Amino acid sequence: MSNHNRYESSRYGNAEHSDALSIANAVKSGETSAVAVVDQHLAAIDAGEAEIHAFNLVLADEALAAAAKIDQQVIAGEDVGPLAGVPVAIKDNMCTQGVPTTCSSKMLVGWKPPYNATVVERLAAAGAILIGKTNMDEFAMGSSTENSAFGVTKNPLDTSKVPGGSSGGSAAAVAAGFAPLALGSDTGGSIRQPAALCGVVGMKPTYGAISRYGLIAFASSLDQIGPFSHTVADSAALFEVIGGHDPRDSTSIPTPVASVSAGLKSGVDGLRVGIITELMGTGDLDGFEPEVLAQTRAAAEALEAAGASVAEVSVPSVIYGLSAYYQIAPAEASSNLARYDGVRYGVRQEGSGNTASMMMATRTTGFGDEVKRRIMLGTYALSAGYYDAFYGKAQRVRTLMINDLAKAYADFDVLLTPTSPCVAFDIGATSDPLTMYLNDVCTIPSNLAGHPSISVPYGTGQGGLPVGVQVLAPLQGEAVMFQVAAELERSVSAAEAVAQNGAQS
Amino acid sequence: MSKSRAQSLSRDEVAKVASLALLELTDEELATFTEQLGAVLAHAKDIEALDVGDVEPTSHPYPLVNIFRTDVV
Repeated sequence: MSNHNRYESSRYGNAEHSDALSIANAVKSGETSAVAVVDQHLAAIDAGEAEIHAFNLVLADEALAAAAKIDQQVIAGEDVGPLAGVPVAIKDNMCTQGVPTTCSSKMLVGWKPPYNATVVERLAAAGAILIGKTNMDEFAMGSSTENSAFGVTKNPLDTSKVPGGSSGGSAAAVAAGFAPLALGSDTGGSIRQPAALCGVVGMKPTYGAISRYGLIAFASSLDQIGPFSHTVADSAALFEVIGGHDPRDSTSIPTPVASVSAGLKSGVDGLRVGIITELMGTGDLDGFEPEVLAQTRAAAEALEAAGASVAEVSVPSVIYGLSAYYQIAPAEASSNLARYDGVRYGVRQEGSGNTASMMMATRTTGFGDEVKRRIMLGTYALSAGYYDAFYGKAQRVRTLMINDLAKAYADFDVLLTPTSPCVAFDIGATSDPLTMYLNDVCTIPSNLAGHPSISVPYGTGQGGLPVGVQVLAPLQGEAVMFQVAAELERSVSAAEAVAQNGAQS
Repeated sequence: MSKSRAQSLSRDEVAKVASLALLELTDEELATFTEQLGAVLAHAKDIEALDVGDVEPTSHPYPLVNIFRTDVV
């Protein structure tokens, strides 16, 4: 009945520690070995992957070899880094040198990147171990991972449900205990929404805070890489490892990564928390489940009890976010995906003898329906005669939203909303694209504004499935965002401890 | 501008856009995509009424300019 054991019940295998920092400490102290840690997680994958399908590729041999190297370094007394021996699952749109990277598209089958993404290099330098490449909606377009060319990923909490998307494989890998950490990418909510639906923590940083070098582009002014984990502290630690300036990404903010772990225990006394009125199921936006709204209010009350001041705040233009996003993101996608023409990458389908027909045949067979829809939407939005009415207008609405959020942040340190209007839904239940897009209504504003936000599991909703509450902060406000997220996590743990004691007595 | 939701995008327009994007559609796909894309564009009409003429467009959330690497090989 109670939800205190929801993580444990979704987990395969019997790994000793579920959080990355405990694993790293145990490896560094010699209490356990990196090889043992990797073995435990590979055993969990063996037990559950056939059912969940979180991965496009499991790198068992490579992970064990990397772990053996870490163990040698520990024995030699070398510094092995803050994530020593921690298995990490990576979304299959991040380049791994010599290792297939598909974006879950037929288009890229057989393609092996000639270089590593910056995040991959920084993970390795921190002692983390790449354990596999995770399934996703094709080219990160979707909210359910049903758009993968290689089959859907199932939600480990209830395998009749979607894990969310587009980073559904990464969220499921963490929820299932296949890896304590994962990386996803978030263009309109693709980290935070699956994190909410799978009951884990997921975070999108400030645009430019984590290098996009080696992240296969979907919508370049919106895309960001970010972490998944069971705990807020783990996401903070992972952010500190992969964040900070990268000269290879011209959109990378030229400052060192913000220190966010130090403030996790600071509490929220005196902080001002605003609940965005328009994203609480009132007014023009509907489809919010009452349990989701109730948990969001409970989260606000918990922050208030911990000393924060809480009030509602209106951010009027957030209701136009979806419309602006579904002009801007497809427009950028139609340009970014023009490169897949059978000449440079992946598959080639011969046409009727000339180059144009080869390109058309390649794109027609290589892309799935959702990718085709977005490319066509974007091509339309950018076409002569429509540019100003659609793309131009959407860019101005983007400014409106940034201005409205700035006004809210004059009075509040962070903002609070549900992450997703609903809990995990049935696989195959949503066939209408527009209905699927509505899942992103709470997450899109942070992408359009370039602001950081994080989803924290907060109780359960319909069917006992997890609810995620989202904490939003202004540009480069990761420290205060993590600080509030950590307080939410403590309040959930306290409530669950009470429930557990009640159940036992 | 008073097209109904179903008519917000014509079959011919979708066919033209598909050919611009180097995508070949069957008749059945053309019908389905016309309806689906029309619904998305109809939803986007809520921003058509907004008066944003004096608002500057945002193309990038964190404007950095003239980012060059050192000119060495």
